[in-house]
Amino acid sequence: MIYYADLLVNGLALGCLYAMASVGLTLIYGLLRILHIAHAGVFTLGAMIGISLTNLTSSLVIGFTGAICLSMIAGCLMYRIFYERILREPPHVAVLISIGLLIVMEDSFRIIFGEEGITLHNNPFYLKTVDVAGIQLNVVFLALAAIAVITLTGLAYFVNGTRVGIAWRATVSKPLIATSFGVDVIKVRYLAFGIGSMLAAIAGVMVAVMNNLVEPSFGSVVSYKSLAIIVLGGLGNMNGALLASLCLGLAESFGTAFFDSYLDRNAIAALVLIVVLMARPSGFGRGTA
Amino acid sequence: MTLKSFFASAICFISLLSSASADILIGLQTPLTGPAATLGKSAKGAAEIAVDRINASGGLLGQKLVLQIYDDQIQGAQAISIANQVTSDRKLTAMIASSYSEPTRAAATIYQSAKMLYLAATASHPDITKAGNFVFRGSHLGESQGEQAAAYMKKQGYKKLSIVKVDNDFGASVINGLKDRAKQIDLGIASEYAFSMSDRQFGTLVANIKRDAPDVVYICAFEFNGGPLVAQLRAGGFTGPLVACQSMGNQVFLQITGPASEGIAVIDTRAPDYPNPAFQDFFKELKARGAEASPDGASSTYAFFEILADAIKRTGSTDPERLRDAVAATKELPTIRGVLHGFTAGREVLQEYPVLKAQNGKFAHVESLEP
Repeated sequence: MIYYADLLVNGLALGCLYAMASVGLTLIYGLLRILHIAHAGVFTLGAMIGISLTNLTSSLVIGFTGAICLSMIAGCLMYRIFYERILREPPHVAVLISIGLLIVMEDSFRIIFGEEGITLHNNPFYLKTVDVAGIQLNVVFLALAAIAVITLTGLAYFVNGTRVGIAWRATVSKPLIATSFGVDVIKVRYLAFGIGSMLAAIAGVMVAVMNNLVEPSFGSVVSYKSLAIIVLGGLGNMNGALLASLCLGLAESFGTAFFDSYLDRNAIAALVLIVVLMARPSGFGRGTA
Repeated sequence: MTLKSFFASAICFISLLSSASADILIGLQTPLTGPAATLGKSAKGAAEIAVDRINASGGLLGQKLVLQIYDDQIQGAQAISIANQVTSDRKLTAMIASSYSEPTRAAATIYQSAKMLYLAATASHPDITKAGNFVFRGSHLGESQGEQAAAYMKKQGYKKLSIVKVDNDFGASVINGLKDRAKQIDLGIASEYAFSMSDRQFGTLVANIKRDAPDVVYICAFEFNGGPLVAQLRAGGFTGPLVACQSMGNQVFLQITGPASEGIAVIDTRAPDYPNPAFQDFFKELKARGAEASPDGASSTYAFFEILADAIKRTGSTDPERLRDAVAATKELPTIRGVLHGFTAGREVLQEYPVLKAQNGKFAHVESLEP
């Protein structure tokens, strides 16, 4: 029994990790219809800055704060420099720019931080666990799970249940009408990128602390799983994204336990994506706006 | 043309010829960029030390040794491109490959077809030396590493083991050797698991191993995935002994794992305290050059320069076929990695297998296993 409970908890924790890594992307896509693949680069950037600052100052709090602030600025700059001028272009233009940006970012990390990546000089968290009914739960995983659930449900409520959130969504489908109602469309866009990048940085630093390693290609696996989560979750739907993340995590956890002789973890994730979309093309939730 | 200008031209032409033949060019194929750059940096450092030392003692056959470095990024396609370029130029006397199995294996047949000496310092896939008689291996075959690991674990008194391997050529070859030997010496295998190179989260694997409760876990991976795996195994509550393959025996692995690596045994790699004065002297210089992160890869690279230099001195020539025969005939040559007893008929190295243990954040040499 403990074994299956272990798999369940592991699957949920993995799902929360994916949720945290993709919530920013879901927010940006939901509000701006931009498939910001370079979000994985911001995830890595946040991790690199967080670990570097922590090593420099011996303070994880400073590392976290620095990672969040600098990633928010980076996200807003990305929007301003790369996306703002191509908003009226077909969607594939933004996708291509984003892919190129991600490649450039990964190579830049390689040059600046080194090929092997970086580790925390002093990491008191990654080996710390809490015993819950015989299951060892890593404290960082627990924190990540808690933040993911709070963030996603909070954002879902904000975007769907508040006047401000609805006004933000209106900037996607009817920007002129939204402006005439006093909604600052430009501000909404910058905020979406800023908040999305902040969430990526939080996820990046926490995963880096959990693994005690961040490499230049840290975000590459996250990037395509985040895309899968957006699609499975219903294109911009926050609750859908959380549900999709948890399903993906559980599928990988149980799938690897029983089928790892035949398929690896990423193949199992891809299979889940295909099966769900064939049964339900719109994913788990309805898209926003 | 006047007589003066004729002689001037003749002198220029002769000196050009002399300078062209004054250098012996040795190539180094290694990953300077990409996830395996730890190895590349150390291999480069080792090669530079070897060339500097050989040149400081007068070079070889009165000629200076020159190093040409090629970055394969552990990509098979890149290694093939390098091999095609190098074998068509025909400037190199030999190519030393300090890289992973995939790019080394990809390039081996090209060097064999071109009848150019190809010395695989670090790659372990069995098919590499099967390319032909111009291809030699300076590190142990993956399978023989696995065999020695099985023998070591049996010697320690373990009865039941779980195997975890990275899903690539290297992992497959090591584990094949381990399983074959385990069957012969009655070492039980409780379970076997594989993961992909990009995996960093191992929750399911940890749960599986805790359920299996083996006496020991053997891990065949690299520092960037084996490190998180070891940390997660310890954090997940597995307290049993761990034994790892050579590619996890480096400083980066210790940095990633921290206290989680305490007590882990690594088979067939050399620690800075490897009991050979020449190795320690070499390691001191490697450290001075900031290239000490992968000492085993570095020492294997350096040893091939020793072997090549010895072969060139014995033949008095850089002719590829004579060099090939001289390398194959090498016997009881002292190298920084211990005595090289020779090469097998299949051009595999015959040398000891050192065992390390992680103690207080460092690797320490504990014993050597003879082939």
